[in-house]
Amino acid sequence: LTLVIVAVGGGRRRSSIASEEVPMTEGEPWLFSLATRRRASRSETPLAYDPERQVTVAWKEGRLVSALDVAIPRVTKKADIEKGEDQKDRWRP
Amino acid sequence: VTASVLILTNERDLGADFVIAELGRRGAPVLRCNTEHLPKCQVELIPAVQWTLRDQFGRVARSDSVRGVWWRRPGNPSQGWSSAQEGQRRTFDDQWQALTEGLASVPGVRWISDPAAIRAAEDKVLQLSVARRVGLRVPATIITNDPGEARRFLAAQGGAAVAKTVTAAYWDDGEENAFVFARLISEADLPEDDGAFAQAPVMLQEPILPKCDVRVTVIGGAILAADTAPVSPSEVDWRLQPDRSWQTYELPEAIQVQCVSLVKTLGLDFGGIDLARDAAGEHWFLEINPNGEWGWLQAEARLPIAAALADALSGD
Repeated sequence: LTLVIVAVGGGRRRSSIASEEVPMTEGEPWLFSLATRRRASRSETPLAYDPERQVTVAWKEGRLVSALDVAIPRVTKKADIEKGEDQKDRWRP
Repeated sequence: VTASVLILTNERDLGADFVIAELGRRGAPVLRCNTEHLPKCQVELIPAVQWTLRDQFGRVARSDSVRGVWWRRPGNPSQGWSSAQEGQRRTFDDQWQALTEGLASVPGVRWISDPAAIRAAEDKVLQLSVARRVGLRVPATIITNDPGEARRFLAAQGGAAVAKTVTAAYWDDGEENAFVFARLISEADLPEDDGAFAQAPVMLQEPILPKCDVRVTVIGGAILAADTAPVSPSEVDWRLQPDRSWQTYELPEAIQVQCVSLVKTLGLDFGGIDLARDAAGEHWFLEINPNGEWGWLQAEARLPIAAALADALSGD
């Protein structure tokens, strides 16, 4: 089994939710003052992609299981919060 | 084995995992193409005639044997290209995007949804226009960078309005990331410096408060709805309250018809529609997510969304 470690735990935005708030910068558009700002941080929850099963997996009690068995509902709920990141990092849309 | 379902996604997408698990239970062969690795694959397209995609593990999907393609947030092929400049990266990604979107030119395969329709439907102005046209209630809305107009709108709404971005607003400079959620504002929140307001347009909407949020997932003709009560009455964006609980909701039939009509009019086969139900029980359209998340609804409200997607993709 070949595993490729992916950006973990659902990504920067998810893992950053509990991070420190960052104050807005002077001179920015007012719209930006409405933003929720966080310093980037990484989750310590390792997830990996299993190309054979074509799904994300995680270690649980010494064996690999579907990430859906250990990370739901936390990851998918937070994934929606990541919508902004998805739209930046992924192909349009 | 030749795939009967092709999923164009990225390696981190857990929504794809749900559907692959469901298709696996049915014995339907699926090829998940994480498009950040497309340069390792082989793709051939004869426009409007046929296509073939072979991944780096030897799996094959062909237009004459695939019944459904799910366009599920494909990743950028340039992600593994660390030395590229931003302009080169965009050009590289654009070439691959044009090819993969071009696969939809071949008839006989169901797409959820057509990539061009998804891109068009991300436009919030179009969303509001079509929602109104199909009969959904739409909150009074203005998009402006004129602080005087903003103040007049706030006054007309009793002094408060919901401020949103015209399109999704996110930035990340490596050290800091930020996302602009919907916020309830009053005139006191507007800047003293009119120039700061004028720098970027903002969408202001009539606040629907108190409200319950309703998420309607439409897949073809299937409608799966859930609702949630707010933890804090003044919090207008439920994404800022991840601890809310969601449960199945029986959407009134008239609203169901309007939601399906909205999705069809936008040329989509999938839509995650956000509605607000007010104290009188009326439903208001807030937005539609043409490729939105739904995993938490499957897990918490037990909505069989993966099964509905598998049905649609496999032609069952």
